[in-house]
Formats: sequence, C-alpha cells, structure tokens
Amino acid sequence: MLKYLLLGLLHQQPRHGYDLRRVFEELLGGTWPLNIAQVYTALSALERDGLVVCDIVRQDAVPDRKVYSLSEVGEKELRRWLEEPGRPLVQLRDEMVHKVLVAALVGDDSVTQLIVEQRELTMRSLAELVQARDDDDIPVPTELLLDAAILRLEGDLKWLELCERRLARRASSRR
Amino acid sequence: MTPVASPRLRATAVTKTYDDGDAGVAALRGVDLVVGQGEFVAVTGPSGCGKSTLLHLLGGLDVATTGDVFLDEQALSTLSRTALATLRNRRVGFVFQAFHLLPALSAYDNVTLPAVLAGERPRAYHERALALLDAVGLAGKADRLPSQLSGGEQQRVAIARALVMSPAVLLADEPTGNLDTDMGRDVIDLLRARHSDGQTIVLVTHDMKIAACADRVVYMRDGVVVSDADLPKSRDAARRTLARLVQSSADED
Repeated sequence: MLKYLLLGLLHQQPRHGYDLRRVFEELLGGTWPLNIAQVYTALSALERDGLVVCDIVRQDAVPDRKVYSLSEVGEKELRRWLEEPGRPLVQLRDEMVHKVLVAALVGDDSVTQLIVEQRELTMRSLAELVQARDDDDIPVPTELLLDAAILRLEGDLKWLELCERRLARRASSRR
Repeated sequence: MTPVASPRLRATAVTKTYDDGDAGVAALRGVDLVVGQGEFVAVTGPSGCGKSTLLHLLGGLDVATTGDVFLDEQALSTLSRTALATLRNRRVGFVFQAFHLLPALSAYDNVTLPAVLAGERPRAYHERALALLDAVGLAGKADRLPSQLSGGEQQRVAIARALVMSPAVLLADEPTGNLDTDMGRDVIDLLRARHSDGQTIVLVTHDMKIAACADRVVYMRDGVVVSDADLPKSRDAARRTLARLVQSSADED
C-alpha cells in the first residue's frame, strides 16, 4: 500500500526523500508516521523495479540531492492500481467485536454492561473526529479520511444497538 | 459527568404512561436527569426509547405521570395551566424537526411572536429580534414568508424565535431531521455558537454524529437512561483516534 501512495505523490511532481515524507504525512493527516529510512528503502525498491527514476541534482553549498520521479512503467502501474477497486474495508477481527461475541456467550449481564461502556467509548471517539472534521483549515485528503473514520464509528454504534436489541429479544423469548 | 453547581433543569424519577385502551404504555420508566447552567446535552437512543417524550416533559409541553421536572428549582407539577403556558413562552425555547413556523407570518413576525404574546411593545423587542435574525444569518430575509425560505433557513428562523425571550433552556427535538447534511451542519454550528455564549441546550437526536457535537451524551433505551457520558474534546485525542483507525487498516497489508 505504501508503494502506491508514494507513486501517487510522485505523480504530482518529482520529489526528493524528505519532501516525499512531508507530503505523505500531510496526505494521511499525520496518522502514519514514516521515518526517512523507510522512505528511502521504499524508493530503492521502486527504483529497482523500474517504477521510479532517480536524478542527482548538484547543489553548491549543500550535498547533492536525489530527486525521484515516476517512470513510464511507474505511471502505468499507478493507473492499473487505480483502475481496480480496493478490497472493501470490512474488518471483523476487532477487539470490540470479539469482546461482544464472548460476552454474549458468558451471559446477559456482562454483555449489557459491555455494550453500554463500548458505546460511550465509541461516542467519545466519534465526538473527537467530528470536531476535527469541522476545523476549517484541514486539507481535503484528511477530510476524506475523517469522513471514512466517522462513518465507520457510526456503523459500530449501529451494530452495538442491533446487538442490544437482538440479545434482549432472545432473553425475553427464553423467559 | 461534571458535578452540577446550579441545575437549570432537573428531572427526578419521571415516568410517563400513555393510556392505550385497558393497558397503559410506558414511554418513560423512571428517568433522572440533571442539566447544569450552560451545559449542552444530547439525548439519543433508538426510536421509541422515550427521548422525545422526555424533552416534552422537560419543557412543560406534557406532564409526567409520576415524578417531577424542575426548571430553576421550580416544580412544573405545581404550576397552573396558565403559569405553565407562560413558563413555556418565556423561559423555554423550543425547536422542532418540522420547524413549526406560522406560514402567514414573515420571518421577523415569527421571531417576535413570543415577545408579542408576552405583551411586549415593539420598541422593547425590535432591536433584539433584528440582532437574532442577524446572528442566524437571515438579516436580509426578515420580510420573507416561510415558504420563500429553504428548510435550513426556516429552521434558523425557528431557532431565533426560540431564543427571542432569552430562555433558561433551549430544547431542540431532531432539529436537523428534515435537513440535508450541509444545512444540518449549519444548524448545529449555530447551536454550538449559542452554547459558547452560555446558552443551556438539550438536544434530542437519533443521529450519533449530531449527538457527538454536544458536551455530554445521554443514551436512552426502553424508557430509561442507560448511559450518561461526557464528551471531552481535544485535538490531540482526535489525532490519536484517527491514527489508531489508519494504523489498524494499514497493518492488514
């Protein structure tokens, strides 16, 4: 995944390593910290595969800079990646999901209490993200990322509500 | 919850049962709630949980079956019908999902209606009404009829009307329910702005994103409060939450 994010950023314009790291962190709202070694490791791999080309730019007072740009092959590879939709973001291997499943096995009281507390925690996260999105000066990619996160948490809250309802129905039909 | 120094609103052991032939239907089954001066509280929960019923009781639109509601420590059950009507007009501001504006009156006349009903002279309320129309971004549309305004604008007129008597508490029942996302956001921004000026607000909504804008969220289910939590807001926390979500999806690769 890192590979294509970097190709996308080099598609915008040729960049040197530090510049690439800066725009990468901007794109993801600072949520995916990369050290410069990781950036250069990724760039060498891309260069080896012929997806990017490296030019040495001579500078006077400071050391020379390596500037990377997208090759024709890299351009094609980026387009190919963008033409295919990504895997839908469905992850059910969450701690929250597991806890609810197990609490439902363990018994009524523990699951009821767990759902209440899980909801409060999720609401707090949702409140934080909604507030972050309402900032006027966030860049577009961060806003899109926040939208995705907000919808995800809303989905979690709906799921918790559904769990509560289904478990209550089961409990009352057993009585 | 933060300890409440001066409760504006207080519900104690409130129940509400509606007659339904032989059997009563319990909409509220014992609710306690304290809303402090200047708080912004969202009440949420699935449909039928009793959140709107609770809001109606808090504003004196309906009367509790048992238990009581106190506005600035005055028990609503002790008030006569007339006294309750006066309290509703002067001390409580209501905003509803369907706006409830009078269609034959201009925006200005809708906003000033509570002042007129309270027997104020135009000289007393004119400046105040203009300032409110300005605050809700409708200074240039004071003469328009509701039918000449968008849904979002009508709701903003309704908010100005709800605020014209400087009420002790603003009660909003699904105020964004009939609005698209952007208009809904404008309405919430407006409520937040009034909140930062000290207005006490209770907002009922089924929309968790809207509820998340309040400082505290009360969750109801089957006529009882099942949770009541503060929503602290810090930029760092937002960043950490987002980072956690991004990291967990990146780890999959």
